[in-house]
Formats: sequence, structure tokens, C-alpha cells
Amino acid sequence: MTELLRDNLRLLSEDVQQVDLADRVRVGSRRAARRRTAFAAAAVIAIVGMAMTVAFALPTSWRVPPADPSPSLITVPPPTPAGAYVFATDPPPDTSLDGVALTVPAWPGADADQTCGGEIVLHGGSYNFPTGAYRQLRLVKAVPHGPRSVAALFQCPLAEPGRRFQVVDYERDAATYRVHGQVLVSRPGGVEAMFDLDVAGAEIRVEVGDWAGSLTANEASHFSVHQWRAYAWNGGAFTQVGGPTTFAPNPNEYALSVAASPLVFGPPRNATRTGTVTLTLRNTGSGLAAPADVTVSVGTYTAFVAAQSTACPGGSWASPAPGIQRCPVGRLAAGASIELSLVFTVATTLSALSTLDDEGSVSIGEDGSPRIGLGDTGNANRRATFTITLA
Amino acid sequence: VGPADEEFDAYVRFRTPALLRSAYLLTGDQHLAEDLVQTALVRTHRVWSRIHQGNPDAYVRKVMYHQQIAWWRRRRLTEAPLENVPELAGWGGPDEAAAISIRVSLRGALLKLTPRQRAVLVLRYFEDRTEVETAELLGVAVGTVKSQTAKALARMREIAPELVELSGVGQSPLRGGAR
Repeated sequence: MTELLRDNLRLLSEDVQQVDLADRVRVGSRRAARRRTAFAAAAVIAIVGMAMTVAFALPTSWRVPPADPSPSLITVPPPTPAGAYVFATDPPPDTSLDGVALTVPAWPGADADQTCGGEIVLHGGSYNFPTGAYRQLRLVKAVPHGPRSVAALFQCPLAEPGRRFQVVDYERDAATYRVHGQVLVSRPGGVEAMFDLDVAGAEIRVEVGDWAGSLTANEASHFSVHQWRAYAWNGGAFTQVGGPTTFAPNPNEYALSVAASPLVFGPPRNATRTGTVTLTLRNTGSGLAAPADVTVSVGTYTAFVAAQSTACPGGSWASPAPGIQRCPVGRLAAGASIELSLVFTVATTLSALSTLDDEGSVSIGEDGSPRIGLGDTGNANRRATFTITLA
Repeated sequence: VGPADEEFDAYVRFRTPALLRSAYLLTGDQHLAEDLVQTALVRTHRVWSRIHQGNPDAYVRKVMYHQQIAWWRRRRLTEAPLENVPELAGWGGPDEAAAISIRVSLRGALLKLTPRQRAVLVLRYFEDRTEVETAELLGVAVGTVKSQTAKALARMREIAPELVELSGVGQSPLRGGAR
């Protein structure tokens, strides 16, 4: 069972959507540092304030004033069944250029810490950069042509999306290979992925795709619009001589976004304050979105009152962890939007208010179901923050 | 931003994909996985100057596994466990449906284990850690790792017998294709 478990754990782990957490970690670190500094001061204030708080702390009612009964839901597209994509790992790299010293030209505009250009020697069809344990170059395919030339398709899987593929033409002189020219280099928003390579006469043909937002070429292949394009040497550089030059709209693409109103807690009433945050969820893309969740994080000091909030379109509100509220919203059609309101309560005691954060966050993302579309090529609008204040 | 921060930024960027995969297996949830990794990295940042020349991976993973157990304890007091198993009807052909079914079973089974059992399985069979390394990361005895592993595997056989049946056949739809 354990070998099967090992394989399936690995494949299940690939269901997670990769996101860049660098900004969130940076903000979180700054906030944690501020909290540590403020904690000492707050402790002194708390001792002084405790006596004043006693009067407000008794007796406590946690009821929330009635909310507006009119629903604020705008549109809820019905769930639609669709084919799921099962993640496949890429085939083993091509080993035909193993042991050969090669120069791989840089990807223009690529992040130096992630890109794979440089002097390399392939072993087992791949090269691990010694100065960055997280950089790896794979040879997807090499096609010899003419007596001394070989075209090579490379993949740099951990680089930024859109800067992971390139085709290089080499000329062999005795045992050394020198770069004849870069045939095609991927770039964000253009040819992002390359899947196959062929040579016909003087033309080098490349199967290209418009999307490379995943870690595997197989997944990029599944969700891309595919084309074959032909390139030839014009005496100074490789230029395109055949095939389409633009991509048709990708039917798999959708674009989820979320926005939130400020959360303002009203005046104290029965030793509590209530506040409402309104969320607007949209699919601004051209395709039906994957099943999604919306997740709101406000901190552990609040009490969430589900009965006072807009119905959850794909199920019910749940709290998977302290301070986090979650609602499945189903699949948003192209152009659809949903508006949701949540009511929170917070105690007016000093101990509650002293932990009040000044910012909450909301995010929308696939709910963990197997992937059914390529989703956003950039997910910058999938997360929003909102201010938290007392009136 | 000093060199240490730049180094930490680079570490975050390069390790996030791998950490997210482990966190997803631990939580079974995209958002919780993101929160778990973020929390672990924020805590790691506080001690970065002390650990960056040693083994920061071990530190961040230790925080992650302990944080997951702490969250579960807090959540257990007030809330029902999260059940979020997607519907299968209408998806793909037979091979694809079988592959998805296995994944859903595995995910569901993992979520029904205790956090420590889940952590042991992830460390032993996903990260390929030895029993000694697993014990070190979780802060428990090697004997505990052995017993938790045995219990976790037994529980998984009980919850998801199809995983056991497939092991007899020696072929998983996930491994065998369904491309």
C-alpha cells in the first residue's frame, strides 16, 4: 500500500494551486513586529483600563440587531458539470545531449534568481544550478538537422510563468557546441509555452501554446491554445516564416476577482459592536470559472453571525479555522458577479478591542476540486484587503 | 531591505511551491494551506538571522506541522470538522473518474486522520523522511512515529478500502494514465 500511497500523495499534492506568498509573508512579518512592539504598551494600558471595563462587561448580550432582510445576491450561475483534468507529470527529459557543454542564452527580462541561462552540462537530460538549489533546466527535445546542427527545446520549470521555454539552435564543431541562434524564447502574454519541436528543410517548427501557468508542461499543454509555427535563419537571426502569429481567445480562461468594502464596527450596544463587510466577486474572463470558495479573514476577536449574512450561494458559511469564514460560491459564468454581506460582532471589552487588527482580507480561489480550467494567468485580483475601524 | 531580507525573500519564493504541496496534504484545503505556509514563514522570518546558515527548511517545516496541530486543537473545541469532498458526477470518462475517485478518497481519508497521523504519513511517504527525521521534526519519540504510522495506515485501509484493493492489483489509475 505504501508505494501506492507515496505516488498518490505526490499526485494529490499537485492539486494545490501555486501562489506567490512573498508579499503576504513580508506584510505579515511587519505586522507581527508591530504587534510585538505594541504588546508591551498595551499591557500597561490594559491594567489601567481594566477597572473601567468592568461596568461594560456585565451583563453581556451577543445578539446582533436585525439585518436588512432584502437579499444582496445579484447573480448565481448554476453549477455546470464539466470535464476535469487529471494532473500528469511530464515525461522524462531528453538525454541525447548529456555530457555536452552548452551555453543556454538568457531569457530576456527574466528574474535572475529563477532563470536558467548560462553554461551548463546536462546529466540525465537536466541540469541543477549549484548556486540556486531551486533552479533546474530540462531538455525537452533535441532534433539534429544537417551535418552539424541540432535544435534544442529547453524548459526551466521553476522560472516565472511565461519565461520557462526556449528553442536554441546549436552548431557542432568537433566536440563543442556553439549557439547558432535563439529560435524562439517564451514571454508572458505571448508564446508562453512550447511543447514539441520538429525540423523540415531549413525550417525549425515549434508547437507553441499561450499558457504556462502551471509547473508541468503537460498541464500547460492541456489548457493552452496550440499552434505550430515555423522559423528560419535570415542571415542574422531566426524569424518566423510560417504559421499563425497570434492566438485565438483561450476558452479555458477565466478571471476571478474580489473586492471588499471597509468593515466599520458601529457604536456599542449591549456590550457589543457590529459591523458589515460587503464582498463583490466577479469573473471578468471569457470562460466559465472553476468551482470557487471565498474566504474572509478578520482575526479571532470577532464572532461571526451566519444568520445575519447573505446566503452562501454554493452551500453554507463555515469556519475552517479561528478568524476565518468560508463560503463555496459555485462556478461563476463569464461576466457574472456576486455580492455577499457578512455581519461580525466584537465585544466592547478592552481585552477584545486591544486585539483588534486594522485590516482584514478576503480571497477567492478554486475550492480544491480537480481543475477544470486554466484560471487566471495572474491572480493579483483574487485577494483584497479591507480596513477595520470602530465608528 | 538588507541582504538578509533579500535572502529570505528568495528563500520564500523558491520554497513556497514545495511547502504548499505539503501544507495542502496536511490541511486538504487551498486557503488553509496558504495560511499555514504564510504563518510558518512569518515565524521563520523572526529567527532568520539565527537559522539561515543551518537548516531553515527543518525549522519552517517544524513550525508548519506544529501549527497545523495547534489549529486543529483550537478548531475542535468550537467547530465541526470541515467536510469538503467534491461531487464526482459528470466529470470526464471512466479512467478520469476513477483517478478522481482515488484522489477524493485519499483526500477524504487524510482529513479523517488526526493531524499527527496525517503529519506522520506526509513526512514518511510524501517527503520521504526517515523515522528518526520524522520524530525530530514532530518532537516525538521514534516509537511514537512507528505506532502513529501503523495506526494511520490501518485507519486509511478502514476509511478507503479501495486504496488497499488497488495495491493488490498493483496499478493505480493515477499512476497508470488517465491522461
